[in-house]
Amino acid sequence: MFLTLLAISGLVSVIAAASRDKLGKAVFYIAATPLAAAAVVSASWLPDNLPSSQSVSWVDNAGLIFNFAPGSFQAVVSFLVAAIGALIMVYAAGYFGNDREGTGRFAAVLSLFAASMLGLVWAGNIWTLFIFWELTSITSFLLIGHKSTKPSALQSARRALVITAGGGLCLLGGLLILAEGNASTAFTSLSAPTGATGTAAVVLIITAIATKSAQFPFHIWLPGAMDAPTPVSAYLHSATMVKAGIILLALLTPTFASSETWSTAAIAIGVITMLWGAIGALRQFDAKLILAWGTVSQLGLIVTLLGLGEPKAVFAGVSLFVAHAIFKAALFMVVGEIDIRTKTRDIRELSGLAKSMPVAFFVALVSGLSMAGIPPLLGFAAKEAAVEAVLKLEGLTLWTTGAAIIFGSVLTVAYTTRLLIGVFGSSEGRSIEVAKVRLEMTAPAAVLGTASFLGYVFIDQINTLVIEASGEINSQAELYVLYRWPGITDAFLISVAVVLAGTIVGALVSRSKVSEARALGAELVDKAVDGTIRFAGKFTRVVQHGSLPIYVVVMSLVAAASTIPFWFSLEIDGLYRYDNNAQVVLAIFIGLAALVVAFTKSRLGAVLALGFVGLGMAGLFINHGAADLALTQLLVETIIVVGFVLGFSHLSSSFPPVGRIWQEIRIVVSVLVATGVGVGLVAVSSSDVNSKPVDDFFSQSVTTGGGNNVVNVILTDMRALDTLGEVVVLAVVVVGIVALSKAVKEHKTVGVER
Amino acid sequence: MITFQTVANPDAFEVPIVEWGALSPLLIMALAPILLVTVSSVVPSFKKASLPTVYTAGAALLSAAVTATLWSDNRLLMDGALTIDRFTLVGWLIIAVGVAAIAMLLDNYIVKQGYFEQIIEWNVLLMISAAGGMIVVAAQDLIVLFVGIEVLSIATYVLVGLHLRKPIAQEAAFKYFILGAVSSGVFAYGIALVYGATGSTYLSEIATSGRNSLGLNPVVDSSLMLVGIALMLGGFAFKVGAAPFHSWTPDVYQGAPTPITAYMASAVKVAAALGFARVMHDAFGEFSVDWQPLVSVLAVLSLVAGSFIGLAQKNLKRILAYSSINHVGFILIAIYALDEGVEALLFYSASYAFTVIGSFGILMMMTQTEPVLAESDDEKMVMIGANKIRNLESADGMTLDDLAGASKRHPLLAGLFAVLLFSQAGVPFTVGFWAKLQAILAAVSVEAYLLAGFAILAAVVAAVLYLRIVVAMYLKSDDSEPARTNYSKLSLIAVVACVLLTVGLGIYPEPLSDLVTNAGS
Repeated sequence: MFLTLLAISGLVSVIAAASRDKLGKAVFYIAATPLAAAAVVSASWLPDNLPSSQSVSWVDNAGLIFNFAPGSFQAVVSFLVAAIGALIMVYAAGYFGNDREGTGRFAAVLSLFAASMLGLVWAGNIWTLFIFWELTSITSFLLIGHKSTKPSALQSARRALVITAGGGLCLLGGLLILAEGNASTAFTSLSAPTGATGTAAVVLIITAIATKSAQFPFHIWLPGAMDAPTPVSAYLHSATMVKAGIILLALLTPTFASSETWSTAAIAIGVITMLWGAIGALRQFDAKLILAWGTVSQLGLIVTLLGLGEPKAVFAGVSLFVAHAIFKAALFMVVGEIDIRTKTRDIRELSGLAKSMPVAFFVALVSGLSMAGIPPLLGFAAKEAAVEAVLKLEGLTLWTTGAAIIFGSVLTVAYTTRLLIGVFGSSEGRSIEVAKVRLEMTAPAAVLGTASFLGYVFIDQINTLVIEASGEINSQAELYVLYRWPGITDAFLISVAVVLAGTIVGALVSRSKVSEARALGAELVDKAVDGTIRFAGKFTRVVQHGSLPIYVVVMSLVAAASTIPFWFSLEIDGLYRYDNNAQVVLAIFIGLAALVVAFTKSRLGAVLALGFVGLGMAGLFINHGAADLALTQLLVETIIVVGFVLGFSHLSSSFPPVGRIWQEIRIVVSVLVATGVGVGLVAVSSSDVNSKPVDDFFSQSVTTGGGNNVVNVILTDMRALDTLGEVVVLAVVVVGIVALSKAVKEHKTVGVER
Repeated sequence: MITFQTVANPDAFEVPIVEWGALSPLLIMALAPILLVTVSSVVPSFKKASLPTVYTAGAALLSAAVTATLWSDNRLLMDGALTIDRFTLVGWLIIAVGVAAIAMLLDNYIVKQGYFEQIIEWNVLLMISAAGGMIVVAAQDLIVLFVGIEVLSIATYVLVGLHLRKPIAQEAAFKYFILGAVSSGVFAYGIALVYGATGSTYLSEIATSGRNSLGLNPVVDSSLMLVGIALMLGGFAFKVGAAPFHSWTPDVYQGAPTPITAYMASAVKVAAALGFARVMHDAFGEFSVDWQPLVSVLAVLSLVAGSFIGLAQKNLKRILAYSSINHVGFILIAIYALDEGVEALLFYSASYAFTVIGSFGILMMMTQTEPVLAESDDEKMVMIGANKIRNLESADGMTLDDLAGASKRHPLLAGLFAVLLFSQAGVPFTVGFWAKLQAILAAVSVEAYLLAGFAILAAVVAAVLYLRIVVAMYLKSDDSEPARTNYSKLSLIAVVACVLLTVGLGIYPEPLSDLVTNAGS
């Protein structure tokens, strides 16, 4: 069933891509279908009718098994991802309207993303999750960069990719450690590694979570991601993808339940993110950016609650997870609609929309109040659970983490107020021009807005879901409940105070001149990436200069250098020197000829001297009694000299002058290479082993080869395959010459001026 | 020295058994070009339309099919010079199928670039070179291996230079030839030293005359052996294009005719890598403590050079050249892991080969429809030289900027290209993901954690390299209209086949995974 759903989504994606914008916005309805189906299927799993797991053995020898086994928590998330996804598709149809450009590609990537996200949610083991995790990063990158008319979009997309892909690599590292210590990689049977590797695993995985879920200091990619079309912001960057980190956090919480590092790291990151994000939201003027920073803050809160690991906190975290997905997607949809209909999202320009866009206003109001935690909305019940959880804390944690959560809530109310007043309030009686309503944009937002309210009405049902879901993360979390109306409790009084304080702060800063936040971290990342590319460019210019002599020098140097360690291990006393005086004379002759080759200025002189080197070699062969070998050598030398002379007829008669440094480099390299080769040769000729195989050739020449001339037998029989190969090499050369000469002929007829 | 004897009993002379069956894939690849030369010179009408291409692709596929029939064979051939085992057969399969694909790409290229006169020679050289590669993969003897490498390389040098109207092709061929000759020299010298230390050129005999059973002078002989190994390692590193022996790769890959670049990046590289692994594994296994550090240095340098340094490139062929260096890093990791890495090595090589052939193939088709805007003097000269053929392929090739709007000009090609680039980046559900994962797991299984870490890091940076191309094609806006598409059908088929394999094996890698299982010798 899981695979079927994913395959259908993949297929729809291919269809959308292949349609190449021809279908216009209709493509989004096609894309919505599999998601709607997935939503229905997911709904059938709730609250405790979980599907049996599905395993597909994938790469046997690597032990990779594709496993889908959603638990209660994942079932809830799955429903949210699928249902919101289907709504987003409808919304996207409205967003693009009659503009067909890019619809096919957008729908294709978006449904690919949705499928990846569903795969991630359903994953039953760490590798399945990892695979889909990476896919969501890539698709997110492509979606952020979609709006190609905007120059900053590509920059933002790149930044998001660098950060989330970097997180992906941390995750891979962490998961590799986890997999090493566990026989099964299923989430239900993992046990945490201990000691230093355990800490390493925790650090790597928490880092991965922080990058994906936009936690401080990795949150910087999320505001930039707002360059994406709004359907993407509403879906990926509020409701789903940024939750992937939190999903992983939840799934691994039982595994790392006893790890101090795990919870401390999560809480620290979460608290900082929550406060920093909320402050960021107060400093923005772009409504979409306010929401983005708000998302950062809310994600921080959820991470903090899950990191606390206390039953009540986990319960509150899961409640907020659900509530946030619903209200944040709705808010983004509204802002997107405003953007399309008024051509701006700047709260300094927007005015009087409460009257001109009543439905949008209503949806935003409901969702915003849910975000602020005001009854009668789902957000209220969730926020109450969080405050209750804070009150359960003790000692230092209460006064640090607890206080921070309360303070964060004040700020949440504040930026919500600022957003609502900024967008919908009327300033100086101004009212802005509004294009006509787009039903496909309004309707999905209205559905989600209503959901925030219905969630409150059917709080008991929601409660069952949350109890089941959080029970999976911490089995004692089942003991708690979401209240529709808690009565006048301590928590409620605190909430009232929070709302009052937040409203005042929000109203104060709603139109006042706060300085717009500078994305310092984002600039740093961009600089780092640009710097790397620039450095690579400089480095390339030095290393990859395209000069053949330098390449040759480098290669020879490396090869010669590899022999240096052995220069000194030779036992001088036992070395072979020479057999007779003729050899000495010949050796000196060869050496002198080689020196002439190296130092002469005349090309012809160098070739001739090289010929003398060959001649000396032939002399050595004769000295050993190998007349036929010497003959061959002479023949080859002659041909080579003739070839060189012919080739040089196209070149000047002397070598071009060389610079002094270059000359010295060449001398050093030559000496090194000569020494290296020499040491090797001396060592070989002093070794005793090398005489054995030749004996074999002698003794077998007649019996196996049927010939008395050993060299001939070697060439035609014992090593006939090598000879055949050499013949083939000759054939290649002939064919090459033919082909090149033909090409030269044709070349001339076309008439290139030389 | 030579003493003359009479043959004692000529009747008793035993005709050695040649196992024609097992040799046939190699023989087909080696004899088909000779037949092609003969037939085409006798029957001139054979040089018509795509006939030589179909012939070459057919011969290569026949060779591949025969290879497949030998699947369960495991024996030595030709008096122990060659070995037939799963490792060899997988290598042969990669090379043979690769040659078929390259021939189909050449079909488009030769006509478009105005070299139809030489279509026979291009194909002949391609097949001969591939036969050399097949020898390299199967060689159990260092001299046979050397001959194989020479056959493989010399034909390639010529192929690189065959595009005479393209100045940088000439430069590339010359550079490749000179550097190749130097590296062959280094390699041959390494063989000589190993022979000096052990008295044998057979891999199995070198292995048994291991560390403690070396000659009378263990200090000298052991050093000889080590220097020999180091030099051979350098030679192999050059052939596979591993850093720091990689400097020729970008220049030559850019200059060479694109289908030949595809050939060098796929079949040539895979042949060299498998030969490399075979020698290190079969002959020098006992010395692994000595050479493994060197291989890991090569791997790390290749990973870094292929990813970070590649970021600076603008020319697409150079980007892909750096990417191939990066891939070599992963292949070297698999070689490093010895037994644990054999399957990863074969899996990586196979998946890499068709991904890279497809990539260069698409690049070729795109480049050939891009007009040259004569700006520099060099380009003008090219335009005068080939006034019929004004496209970027005959100049310096496409850059990232030229790609803007490619998704509109070539919707199909851009889509296929994106898939292959995702695979090279190691995106899940493409075969590249499994390849990278297996290489990393191989490193982990031999506890080379640092190497695995580098691999992961390089994979991420390289992903940026590939995604930049996708971005250039899709996200950089341009008001282009669909280009006139008249690619050769055969080339398109080859490219589409590569993409289908990439995705198909990405979703279900089991077949390829089964293929390479139990390949460890």
